[in-house]
Amino acid sequence: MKEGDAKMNQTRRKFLLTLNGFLVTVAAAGTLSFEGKAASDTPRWGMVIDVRKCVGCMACRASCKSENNVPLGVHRTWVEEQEKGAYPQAVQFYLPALCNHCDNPSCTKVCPVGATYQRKDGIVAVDQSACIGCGACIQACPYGARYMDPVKKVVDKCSFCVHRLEKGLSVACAENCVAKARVFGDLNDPNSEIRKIIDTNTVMTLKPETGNEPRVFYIGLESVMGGAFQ
Amino acid sequence: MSLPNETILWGVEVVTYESLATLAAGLAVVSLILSYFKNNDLQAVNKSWGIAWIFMTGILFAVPVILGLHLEQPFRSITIFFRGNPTSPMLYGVIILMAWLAISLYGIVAIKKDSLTKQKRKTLSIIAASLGLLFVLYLGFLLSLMKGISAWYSSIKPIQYLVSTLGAGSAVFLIAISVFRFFEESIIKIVRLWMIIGLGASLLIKSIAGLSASYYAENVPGIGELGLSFSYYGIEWLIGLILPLAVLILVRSNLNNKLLSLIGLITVIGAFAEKYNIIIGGQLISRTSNVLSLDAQQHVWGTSAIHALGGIALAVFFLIVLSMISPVNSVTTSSNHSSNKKVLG
Repeated sequence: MKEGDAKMNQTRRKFLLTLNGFLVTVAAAGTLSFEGKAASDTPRWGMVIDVRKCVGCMACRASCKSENNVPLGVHRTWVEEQEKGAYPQAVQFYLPALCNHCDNPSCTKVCPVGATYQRKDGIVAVDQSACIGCGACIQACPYGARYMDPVKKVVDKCSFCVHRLEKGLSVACAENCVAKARVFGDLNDPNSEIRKIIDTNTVMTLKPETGNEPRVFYIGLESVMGGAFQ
Repeated sequence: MSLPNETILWGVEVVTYESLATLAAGLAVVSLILSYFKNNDLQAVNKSWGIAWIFMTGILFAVPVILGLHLEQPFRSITIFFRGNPTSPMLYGVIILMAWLAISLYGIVAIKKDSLTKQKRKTLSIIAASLGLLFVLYLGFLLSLMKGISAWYSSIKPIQYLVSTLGAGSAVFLIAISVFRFFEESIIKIVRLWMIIGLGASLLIKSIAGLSASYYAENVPGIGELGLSFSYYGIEWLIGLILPLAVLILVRSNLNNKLLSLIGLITVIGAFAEKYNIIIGGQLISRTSNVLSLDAQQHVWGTSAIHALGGIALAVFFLIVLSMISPVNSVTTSSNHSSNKKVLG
């Protein structure tokens, strides 16, 4: 019996050691992969908007229209005018909005031909040569960021000025924001301005309940709107 | 206030396309019931099945045409077959629709050749009804995925779409038999019963959907604010659902054929109104929970309505052509002939 107990103890010890080794390996791999993601060579483009700084000048909207040749009646970015409270305590503020280039976009899943897709750098792009104009992605977007191009009859939206990014430039709206309310950059770069702002401020996203995981962050939403998107 | 890009993207043509698909799916279910219906007068059953099948095919053939008109660039839709996205329900919807069309056409050819056996008819009906119901389920499922439209983003939508086919299919069948002037009492009896079940189920599901919507509609505009009171309460509920259901249940005696056709007609109008209120009504609610601005609502009618009318006209055209080439009327002659024989015997 004693020999049997000793053998069983040895087997148990071996099993525990193996399990321990396995768990340590898994944890190490997890940490490595997380760090790898955090300091990835591939950028993850995003934007942070400080609504307290926005003065509603619409320079972002005008520059976007001009830069991307956006047709009349539709917008890649816009600024919503919001009011809170009643006179004489009424407060007016502005909410700049654009495509959120979500981490879990609902638009790409419903596109029947894969014309809208997510790039490695996180940008949700539209391949207009493949788009059939069914409009499913427009209906699936909870932010109203997409539109049917009245001229081309295909879907279009903010591309984070991908043509400018390829030339090492920033997005037109952030470049032209007079109050520097919009900051664009690489979320994966710990030294980028956007990352530092996000790390040091309370940021919120619009409609987080949709599970889309937007990559456009807002500062000051809770102070002006109580966090609600109306 | 609504968002600047918001508009009625899916207008009356989509309403028509979905309504016609619902009617065709309902007719496929009626043809399935008729293929299993036991009656001594086999000719009458065969002819009723033929009428249901011809109407289903005629209506169904207009469905992809309206869809193509809606895309404004119909030939680019062929792209779906070459680079279909497996995560999109639309890909599967198109495959189901194509298979359904093929089966319908096969049935028409078989009717024309007079090569349909009882077993073959059953098999065709099972496949057509399954594909039809799958297609309407897909339509409801597609809406239920749309996070941008709060009124669609509901798990009840596919069930509502599925159930609404049952009563609507029987209603079109009642219109169809009056077009062919073929009133067989035993068949009308079974279709009438099926219609009561369908409309009753629809009433139940729509009540649940309505209650659930009102429960979640704290910050969402009501039917009145959207300007849909008449089409919702008046046409969809009162004329298209409660009135035909009440007549079918309360009037126990054999109904006049004209009254039956009228009940069929108002139920079909109710089915259209239901789709209108779902599709257009859903889009009238902005993502900001307000009513869409009047400028954004201009796309409800206009070209969209012309496309829809064209689609309905095309369905009628297909029905006329199919009725002319199929030998349904010759079945009447042989049926009369056999009944005369029986009388003489």
